[in-house]
Amino acid sequence: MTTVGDAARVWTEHRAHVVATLARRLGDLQMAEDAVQEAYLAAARCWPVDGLPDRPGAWLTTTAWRRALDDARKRARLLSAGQPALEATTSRDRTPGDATTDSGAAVGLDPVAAADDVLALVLACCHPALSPEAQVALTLRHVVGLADREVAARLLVAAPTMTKRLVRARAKIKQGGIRFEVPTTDRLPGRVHEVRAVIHLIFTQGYTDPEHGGPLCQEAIWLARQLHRMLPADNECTALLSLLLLQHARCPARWVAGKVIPYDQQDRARWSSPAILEARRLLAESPVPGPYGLQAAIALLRSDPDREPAWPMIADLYAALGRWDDSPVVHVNRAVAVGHADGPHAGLAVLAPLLTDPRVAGTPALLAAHADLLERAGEPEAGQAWERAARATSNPAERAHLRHRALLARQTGT
Amino acid sequence: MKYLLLIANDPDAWDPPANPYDDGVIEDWALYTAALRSAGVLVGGHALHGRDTTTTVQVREGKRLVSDGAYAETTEDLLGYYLIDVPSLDDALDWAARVPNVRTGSVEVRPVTPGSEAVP
Repeated sequence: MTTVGDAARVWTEHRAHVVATLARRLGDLQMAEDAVQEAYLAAARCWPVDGLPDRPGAWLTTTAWRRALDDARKRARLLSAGQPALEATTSRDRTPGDATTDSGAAVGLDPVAAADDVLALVLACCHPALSPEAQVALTLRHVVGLADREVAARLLVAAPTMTKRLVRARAKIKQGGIRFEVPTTDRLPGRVHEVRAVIHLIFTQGYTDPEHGGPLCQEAIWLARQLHRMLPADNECTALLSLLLLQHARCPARWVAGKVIPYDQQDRARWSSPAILEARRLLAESPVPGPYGLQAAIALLRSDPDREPAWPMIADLYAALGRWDDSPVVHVNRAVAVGHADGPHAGLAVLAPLLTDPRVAGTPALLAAHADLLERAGEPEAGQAWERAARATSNPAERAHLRHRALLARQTGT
Repeated sequence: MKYLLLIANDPDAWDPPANPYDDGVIEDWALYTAALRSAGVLVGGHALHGRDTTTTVQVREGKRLVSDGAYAETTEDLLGYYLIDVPSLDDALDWAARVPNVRTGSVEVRPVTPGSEAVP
């Protein structure tokens, strides 16, 4: 017996595909969402009565397309110039009048086309002409399928602000001429690079809030997984998924009893082994390391619950990463790794030029690394250095942790 | 879709060329225009006289106010514009990236509102 719950579950599985196909046909994301929403309501009514259709995706796409056409006919101004032709008769865009059965020839039923459509949707939501905030919001709203207010809650933004942001972003896509299509091969790598950056940004937003950020991390991992599925030959996409799995695997050990537990003190039995195993397997299949590959390799070296990380190798990997990505954060991380591999004074030597580098001076990451190295070197200014790091961060969990380190450092006299 | 490419000189560039049209060689602009034309995407375009020739007009409370120069001190130094007709934003961005002064200046890409053409 098909329940409304079953209908909801099946809809969730197909939602992104249906939205993507409609968006490509209509050139309008909001119209696509409205039509898909109506198709969902129809499914919730019909499926418990008639049972699940053989091909629910096709059923949903066809139903949504019919609704979209009905709505379009009511809106005379849609027929003015500039709108992608609703009357298009390419082989993929036949009118839904043809599609009363589940035959493969009917509209929206070509599964290969549907997979391509989701990639096109993701690429459009992550187009470089959109601001990072817009890219993140659009991806969470239209690819992941969160409601406006859920996106707002995830990103700690007021709901009306988020709605406005989404409306503006969709207007830019439509009026600016961002197409829902997978670009030509020479443009594709750059566009996929942008998608990886957006997914990583979403994950980072979740990761920096260990108390509440779980759902965002999981949604980022889901996105990375879809991207990997759609582009299985892209090693950097594989590496991104692995990296997120490895970082997220440590979350159960990272936030305990309302406190951030640093890596060295985590209860490794709490690390998620299925996630680590999956990441290891994925990385074994993709040998050519780009920037995410290197980061994933580093994360993998830190993910063995029974062994200390191989710090010299990690230091070398950070050096390699620095050649791809000259950002000072990478150099800070290399200093930390060198501190573990060759002793805190060696680490301090690597860190020294960064203390005055305007790109990173005064940031919590740098100051915390500095304080940690000072403490391990037995320097008396370590306590003050931890205090400086605590003052530099606006993240309450991080600040509490850094203040605690300052307290400990003062107690032990360093 | 039609796009306006607004081409600006960067006033903060380390070495602003004395004559902005000499970034590279002046023929670069002619070659670029010819490329737009032979691709069939050129709708129009003009170079503009230098920003010192600008005059700003406003009417406030019935009074016409005329002043020398641009409206704001910080207004970009516009060199000129092209109007192109291409299938998507990505195509417009690709053309914008080939504008001869794009290594020191910048190009704003604005979509034109469809159906709003004023034709003589």
